[in-house]
Amino acid sequence: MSCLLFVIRNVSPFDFYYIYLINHVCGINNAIFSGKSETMPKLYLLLFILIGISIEGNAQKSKRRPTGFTSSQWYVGITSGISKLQPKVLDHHTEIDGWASEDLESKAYAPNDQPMGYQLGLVTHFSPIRFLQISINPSYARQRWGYRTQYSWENAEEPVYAFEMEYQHQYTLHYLQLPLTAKYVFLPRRWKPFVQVGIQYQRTMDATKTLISSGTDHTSGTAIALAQETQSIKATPLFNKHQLAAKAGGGIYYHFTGCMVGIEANYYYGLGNIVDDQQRYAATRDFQGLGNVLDDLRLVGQEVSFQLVFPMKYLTKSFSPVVL
Amino acid sequence: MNQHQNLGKYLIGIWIILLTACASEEELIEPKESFTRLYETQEFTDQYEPLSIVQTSDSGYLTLSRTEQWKTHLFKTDEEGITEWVQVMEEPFVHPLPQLFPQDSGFWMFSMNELSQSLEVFAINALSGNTENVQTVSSVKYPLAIHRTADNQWIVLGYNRDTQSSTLHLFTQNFVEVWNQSFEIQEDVEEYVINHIAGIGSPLPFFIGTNGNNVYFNGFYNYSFSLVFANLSDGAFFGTMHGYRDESTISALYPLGSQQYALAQNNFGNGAVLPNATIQERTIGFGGDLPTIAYNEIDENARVLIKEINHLGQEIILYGTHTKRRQLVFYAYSKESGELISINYLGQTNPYRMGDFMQTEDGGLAVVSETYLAGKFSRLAFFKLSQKEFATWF
Repeated sequence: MSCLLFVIRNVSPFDFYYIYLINHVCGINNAIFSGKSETMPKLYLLLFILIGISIEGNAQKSKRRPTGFTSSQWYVGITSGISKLQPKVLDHHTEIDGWASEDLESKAYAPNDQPMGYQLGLVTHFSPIRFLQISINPSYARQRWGYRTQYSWENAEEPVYAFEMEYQHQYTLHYLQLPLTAKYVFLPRRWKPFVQVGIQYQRTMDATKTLISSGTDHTSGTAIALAQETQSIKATPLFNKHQLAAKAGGGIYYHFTGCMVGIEANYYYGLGNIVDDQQRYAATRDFQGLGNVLDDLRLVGQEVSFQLVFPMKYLTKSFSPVVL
Repeated sequence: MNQHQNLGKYLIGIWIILLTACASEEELIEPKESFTRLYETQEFTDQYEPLSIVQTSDSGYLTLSRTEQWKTHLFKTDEEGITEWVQVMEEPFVHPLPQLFPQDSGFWMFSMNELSQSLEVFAINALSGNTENVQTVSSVKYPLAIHRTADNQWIVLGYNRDTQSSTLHLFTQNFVEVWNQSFEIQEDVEEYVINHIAGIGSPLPFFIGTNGNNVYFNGFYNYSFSLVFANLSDGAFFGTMHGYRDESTISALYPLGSQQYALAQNNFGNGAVLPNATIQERTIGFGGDLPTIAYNEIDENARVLIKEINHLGQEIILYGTHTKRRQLVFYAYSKESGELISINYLGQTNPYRMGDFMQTEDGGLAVVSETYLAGKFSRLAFFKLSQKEFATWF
């Protein structure tokens, strides 16, 4: 973030270079970043070295610093990636009220039960200056997550004559996403490592629920496994139509002459509850099984995506793209 | 460069507009307005037959059910359907009649004394869960149905096994008998009556009510399970709508005005409704002649309830029952025109049996029913629909 602040405050890269030198030579980085530096000296050192190298490289070319048409670039391309998200419970809700025990039902959101999702989209990066990129990445995304609920009943007179049921509730949500990210590019050369932060608006397009029920019947005295059953049902009304998420991460580009490829990894943090509390009960009235009423949930997790983008600004004389 | 910076600003602008567009203001449904509750006991053998639901002074709900075939089961929830107390009345007080009547400090509840077969009157304080046996009415044996008249008197249907007759009794507010009448039964129906009381097999649709100066009851009379009309002033017989044994009967009746009734019928296992029937109380007719509309989806011997609902000034006759698929079903008819407005179902996948329903203080709908958890265990289920959800039915 501090890198971005420098850009926003119009501190020139050379000023930054001097700060780096002061830090590096005199070891008084606390003077500038007091409070944070104690916990993050390594990170800053790495940051400064990267920036230092990049500025050093550019300083050689400073005499022919681009202006006008060649001072910015615009890229358009495609992205695709995968995600693994974990639901975090904000508030518990259930349709089951126990007369026998206080906490009959608990939903288990085991990390192993959370399958991969994916996203596919278009992307446009705009670089107003060589160190900054603002990106918009309209995508289609499929996010998947789920939980399990278990129940058991015992015959008070003959406890061995029990009955057990397990329900696996799997949700698949389809979104149109619109992330807006700001990247700080360390090395505006062929290899371009970057860090980024962003905020993402997403609109729920569709949601389905798959219920896998299984059980064991001991009522005859011997354990009989019940045949596993799978049912799918539409669950779109259960979720908030408009959702927000924050992202932070980093990646690296490689700039070929006519295109640029990149890979990035982000931490995904859902901003708020994805479940529509107005529909929690109404939308699950017709669901089969037990434990259908959803908790208030926030999704957090990781995303990895790949991209292929093409520069949009070319120099007409040589028909070569503007390279920042 | 300026051109491109403008483009960047333009993109950010679009994004901000999209964000603000999602912040729309709507009227919010609070948790108490819409919920589903399943009351789990973890007992293998529990069996519940919900009979009545009423709203209490603290906006909670009091539910009356039968359990263990004929025992009285009461439970009170808060406004979100969370249980506050549960109570099973010990014998000899069994066979609760399927209504709870509001009174100053709670509700009246009626059941039978297993030993004397007399009518027992209970006062229930819904908030504390205190139940008090305030009176025993010995003149009524095998009580089958009760109704509170417009002037707060009690009209009761009983059965007299000595004379093999249905008995009709009018009591004052304080259970002083005003008159009683007997309606002779020509067949031996004791087994049917006892089974109904003991909760063996399907319950029979006994009911009693008044329409102006007429009292009507559904019970055994002459050779069949019939709808009988009498004079509210003295119990004198007016007329009857005969059924066929206990296989073709009226299953619910709601008075709409002079000689006008909304009714439901059970015809040899198939349901039928007639939202606006003209019945001459002083004639002898046959229920099979009524021009009912067949609703074969209604379950055999299903409990059918007919209630009047007021939706934004519109008077609606709402039928509630369950189907052969064990879904709860509601048929909404216009009271004025008798036209069908809508058919609505609750519970598409798990099995449900109708208990009772009511329009709540907030204009929503509360429904208590029996369901089977995991398809095996009989439990009580409570659906609450908000006014907004309920309004989509009309």
